[in-house]
Amino acid sequence: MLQTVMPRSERGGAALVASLPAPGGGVGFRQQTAALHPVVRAVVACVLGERTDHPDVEDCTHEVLRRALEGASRLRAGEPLRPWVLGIARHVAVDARRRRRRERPMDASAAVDGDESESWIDRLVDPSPAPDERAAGAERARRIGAALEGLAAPQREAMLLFHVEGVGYQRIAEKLGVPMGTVATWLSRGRRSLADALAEAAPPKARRP
Amino acid sequence: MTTTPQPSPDQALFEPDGHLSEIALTSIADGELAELVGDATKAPSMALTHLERCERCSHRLGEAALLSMTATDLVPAGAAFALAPAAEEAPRVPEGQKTRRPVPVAAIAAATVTAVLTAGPSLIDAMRGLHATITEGIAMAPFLGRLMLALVRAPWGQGPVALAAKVVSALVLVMIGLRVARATPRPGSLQEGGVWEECEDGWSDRVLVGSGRLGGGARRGGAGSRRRARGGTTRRGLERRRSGGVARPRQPPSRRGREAPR
Repeated sequence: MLQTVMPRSERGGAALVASLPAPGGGVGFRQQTAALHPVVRAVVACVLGERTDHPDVEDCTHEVLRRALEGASRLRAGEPLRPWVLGIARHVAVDARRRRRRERPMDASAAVDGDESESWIDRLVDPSPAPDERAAGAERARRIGAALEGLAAPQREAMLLFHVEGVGYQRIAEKLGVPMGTVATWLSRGRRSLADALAEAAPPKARRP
Repeated sequence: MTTTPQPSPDQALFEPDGHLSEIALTSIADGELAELVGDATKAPSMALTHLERCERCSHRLGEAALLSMTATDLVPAGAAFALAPAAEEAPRVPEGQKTRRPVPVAAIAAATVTAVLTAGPSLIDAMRGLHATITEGIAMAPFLGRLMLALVRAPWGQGPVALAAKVVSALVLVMIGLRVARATPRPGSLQEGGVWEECEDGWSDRVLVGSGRLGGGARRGGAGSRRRARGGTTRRGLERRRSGGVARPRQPPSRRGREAPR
């Protein structure tokens, strides 16, 4: 697993996790959670738009790991840990981002007014649909479908295998007869295509605060 | 014999400028780094060590992880659209053509020709005898007039019984006329896709609504039906007209009855 190859990161995450109470999960669970520390911190920093050593990023990362450890019993048997923890990270970071905007309304309004090039991250950080987006859900799915159809056949197959069927890189590579690095590249570029399709589907200013 | 050299793990995970490659970031975000390069090499360790101190790569890792999560959220729904057969989306028929059937021109023409051929001789005979028929009718008119007058003046044609018989026959004729009028199909009728929908006044009082047109009438004579008979002035009907035929959600009758006036 990943924790076997991350000396510094694991040390940092393990030290943080070790400082937390352990109401649930065993030693293996704690180690796996600690191994996700770099990705969790990167997601939080990306959503907040801060450096990884920013105090808010550290606070949110700590909160994510605490929630993951305390909620270990809610993780169903067989459910993968990584998406679950990263989902918590996204949720915590989005909450912190909203809280910061409420606490600094003038800065936020100035940023919204002055931000002509809204980042695609602003469209992706919170997947829960706003009321207007619920009505446009079918249209969004249609655009995603069109973006998928626009991909090359093996790339689309890799996307579907990974994101729909949950198949790993190695089996995808074996099935499609390509190196695993190619699979990673296909997935990365396919996701970018979907993000572009999603950005086209949503008007820049008709977003939630 | 020359073979294309496979890139070493260092070459696969790092770009020439020393930052992590797209492959490395995507595989880390997906938790597939160890699968990609194996645990035996030092490359994964070097990549994660680089992440610790490189702000740019850490930010790109966050982006890659967010993209991966979003794709996992959205791809299943999009795949349903992408993989659905195209035949499911049938071309939309214009609204006016949905209930219009083609005129059977050939059948009408054949029937007309047949009727003319078979009834033609009789029509010619009738035209020849038309003058004599009219003359006979004019000659019989005084006789028929006297006959009708005698019937009216007969003893059984006067008095309350005769008056009641006339009133009853008039009512019967009116009811037959109404029955025929109601049986005639109209736009928005049930035969043409209309639906029954309860009106504002009560669940038992319903109005026939078809394709945005307020039509028909209530079968029961409630207040709403009477207002509609005067021009369709129920509040719900007016709202439906303003909104282009879309009725607002209804409340159950028990709640409507108890609502306090606002």
